[in-house]
Amino acid sequence: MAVQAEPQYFTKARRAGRIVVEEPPKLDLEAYIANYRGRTRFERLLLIGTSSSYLFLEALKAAIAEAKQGTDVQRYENAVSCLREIAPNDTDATPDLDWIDRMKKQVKGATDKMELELKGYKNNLIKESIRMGYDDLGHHYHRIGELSKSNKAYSQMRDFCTTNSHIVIMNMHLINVCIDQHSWFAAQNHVQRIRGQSGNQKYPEAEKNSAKLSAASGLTYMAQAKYKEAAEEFLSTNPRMSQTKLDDPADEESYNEVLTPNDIAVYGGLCALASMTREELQKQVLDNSGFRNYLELEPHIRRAISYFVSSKYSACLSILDSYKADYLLDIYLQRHIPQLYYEVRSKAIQQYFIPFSCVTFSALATAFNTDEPNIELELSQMIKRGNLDARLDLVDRVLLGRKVDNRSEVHAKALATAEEYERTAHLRLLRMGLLNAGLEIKATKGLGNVGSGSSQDGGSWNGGVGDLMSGEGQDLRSGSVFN
Amino acid sequence: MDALLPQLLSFPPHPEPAKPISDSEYDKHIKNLVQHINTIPASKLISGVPGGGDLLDIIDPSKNTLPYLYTLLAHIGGSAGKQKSGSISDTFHPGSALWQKMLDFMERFDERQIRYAGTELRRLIDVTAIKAERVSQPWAAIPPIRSAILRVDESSSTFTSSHTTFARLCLEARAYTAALPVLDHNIFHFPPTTNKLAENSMFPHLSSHHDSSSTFITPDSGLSAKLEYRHHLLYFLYGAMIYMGLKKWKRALLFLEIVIMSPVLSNVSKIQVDAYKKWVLVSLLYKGHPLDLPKTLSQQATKQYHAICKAYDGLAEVFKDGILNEESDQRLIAEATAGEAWWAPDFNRGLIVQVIDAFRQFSVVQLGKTFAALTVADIARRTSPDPNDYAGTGDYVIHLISTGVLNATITQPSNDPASWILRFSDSASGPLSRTEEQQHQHLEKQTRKIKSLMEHIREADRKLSLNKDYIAEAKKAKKTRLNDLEGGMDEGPWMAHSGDAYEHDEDMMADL
Repeated sequence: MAVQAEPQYFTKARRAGRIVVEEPPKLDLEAYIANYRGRTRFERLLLIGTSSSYLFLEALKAAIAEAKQGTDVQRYENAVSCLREIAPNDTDATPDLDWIDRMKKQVKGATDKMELELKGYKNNLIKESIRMGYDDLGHHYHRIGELSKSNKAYSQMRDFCTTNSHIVIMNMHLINVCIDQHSWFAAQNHVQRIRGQSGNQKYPEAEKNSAKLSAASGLTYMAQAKYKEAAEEFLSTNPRMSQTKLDDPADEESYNEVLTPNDIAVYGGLCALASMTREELQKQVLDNSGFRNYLELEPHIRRAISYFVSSKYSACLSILDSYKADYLLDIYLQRHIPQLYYEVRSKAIQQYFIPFSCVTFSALATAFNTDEPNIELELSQMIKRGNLDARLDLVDRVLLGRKVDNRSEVHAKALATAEEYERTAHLRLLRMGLLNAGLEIKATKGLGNVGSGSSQDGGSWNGGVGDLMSGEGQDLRSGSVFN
Repeated sequence: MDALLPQLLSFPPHPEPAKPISDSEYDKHIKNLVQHINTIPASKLISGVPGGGDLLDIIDPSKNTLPYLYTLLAHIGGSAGKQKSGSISDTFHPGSALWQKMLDFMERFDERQIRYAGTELRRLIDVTAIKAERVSQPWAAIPPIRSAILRVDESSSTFTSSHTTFARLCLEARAYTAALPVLDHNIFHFPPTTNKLAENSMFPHLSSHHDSSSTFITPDSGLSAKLEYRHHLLYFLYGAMIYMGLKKWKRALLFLEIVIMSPVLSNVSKIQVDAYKKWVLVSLLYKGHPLDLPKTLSQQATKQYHAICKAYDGLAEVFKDGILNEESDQRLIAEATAGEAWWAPDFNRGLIVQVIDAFRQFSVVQLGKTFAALTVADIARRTSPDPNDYAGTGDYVIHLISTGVLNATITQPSNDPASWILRFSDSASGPLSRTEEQQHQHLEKQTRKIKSLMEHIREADRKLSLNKDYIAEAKKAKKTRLNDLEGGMDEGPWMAHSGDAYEHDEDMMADL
């Protein structure tokens, strides 16, 4: 694609605080999207189309094509309107009204038919048929983008499930729908339910599903910004999924309607980098034989982690930086990349600083691939957020570790505790005394409401000091005399 | 009249007997005397003694406190009767001879005898206060009332209605420092409603030595008027305002907290609402951020405060965020201007002005959390109203260091204020750091304070355990516990000697 001026759309988006990626990502769009299956293909394409000023045309066109193959009319309209906003003159930017009409009718027909069938099954009272009916309906709604209806249909299956594996199947469907709905908490619930089930009675697919469950659970934690839990889930993902053939839809191991093994490696690796100490990284990530299978798919993540573990922070950070554009175009990672990168960076700075009592800004800047003003800003932010226990010396341009005099610190703390104790005890004693003397504040009849400002004491109070003090135009209650 | 004088002076004996009279003797005699004086009509007391002269000139207030007090009151009230009823004599006003007698009396009365004339002393205090206020000389009444309060109750730990009167006078006279001898004493007790029988058997004589003033300042002693919740709320609010005037924020906060956390039956009082508003502002001035409300506060009261004082809470939030995010004070000023309609009727404008000033101060202090050293130019850029005013910023920082707000040092390598360097010190160094010795002293002092607090707590505990309700409850609890244990056994055998039995669990069980 020829380099051209950035469409206005992205300038506006950036101003509105959305993420816009200018750098060309390392990925090849076609190869990338071929790894996925189902709704997520479209969602991913649309995200790339709306946030990459480099790939948008290609991605949006692909998204439109993708939508047209499906049955979700809304999706198609969204994609077209996005394209129209960015590049109004493109041929694909005008909606294909014929197709829309046709598809709408077709979808409605299919929906009606299924609802009717389900009704029939219900009359026959055959549990299995009813279950299948709901299952079909759920699938159908999911395909046409009616996610909440889909969720409802799947949920209604519960009463008609006769075996454990039925319940597991139902919950797996629900997880997928919830992930598409971005209701992470609900998805997490369904994961727990399946796990609880397999605990007391093994069902045949337990082993097979475990990888998918870990992946889904990790994803929900990550989406809720619980990076440590997410890392742990991803790291314990059963390695069997790493061998799936992504282009083969018949491969039951694959979970590429949600994420690919490569994603597991990236998500897991980044979450671990952001939330674990060096020892933990070595033990739980690099020495983890199960997760190694995934890491082999994304060798640069592995490299970044081993650099971090061996304290080569700048190398680690430069790897992460070089892949930043790719990660920013990932549907689940996009929102979390700034935070994840911040955590990795600040952890690196913390670790770097441990052996020193003071470091010059220039040394820090070189170690972390940046210049002095930037590192100064970064350090001051870290200190403010409480991530770094140190102070900046802007005169000598060094970062100073905090010297703590433990003895006097303890004294000061003891004193503060004692004062606090005295204060609280005194207040309680007074309160008790007041109650014992019958001096609770009672509402006076008819006048007691504070809100109306007519409380009796209010009257006397204002009459008491307020008037008196405001006499000379300079009133005491105002505290103006305190100046 | 001739017969009267020896009677009046009959007690206490003069000169003092070699062997001090026992407490019970003393009590009996002085009660007789009080009874007797009460029968003498006021006109007789002021009629003077034969041979010329006034009773007041003859009696020594430090020896014969009671007759003196009665005569003094008779004079003050008596001359009023001649003019118009209800008003106080014109001969009693600041500067008059009678006023001088009152001053003399307040300084010299006998601390033991005065306990038998609480009501009369309170009348004298009230009359003094009213008179001084009426002639717009509130300061004149401060010293006598102050010494009266402190002489009756040296620890000033029991609240009386005179405290409120005193605080109000000080506030009116703006005599803030003059108020401190009383205000600096912590109040620990309120004249309680206790089990009189039990109390009297333990402390039968007013004249004896009492560990705590709360045992002789009771609702019956007359030393305090019948208290209403307004009395103590006002005392602590006035007190807080006096401390605010002196910029003693810590103490002001404590007083305000006492008002805020006073027990509430249904709705909070308007005085409390006023206190809450001031409390929010003062906590900004003292700490630089809003404080947590005291834990003893009921949820209902908390809700009411927040509902009524939204403007104040909002201002505090803006202040806190501004400090944390190193913003300029523009937002705070905008908020303060927008809330003008709230501050003015609450008479809090002065505090608001100070809060705005304090913002800059806390911004500079906050820098010490992030920076160890920086130039004045940096400080100006981050905190000053005018980022290019280096000289002003330099002066301001020096002012903060010299007033002890900032634990830091400043070096001036050249005449250009922009190049001056501010170095924040850590807790162990710098002008505000304490030596080991000082810290130790502080700790010792705090220990003493807590020990004295413990005394008061013990006293309050004792009083509560004499409370009729408490005893009834304790008995009931004991009974159910016993019934549970014994399967509903007849309570007869242990009730017979249960007088003090419920204190001794083990023994009681052994008897069974």
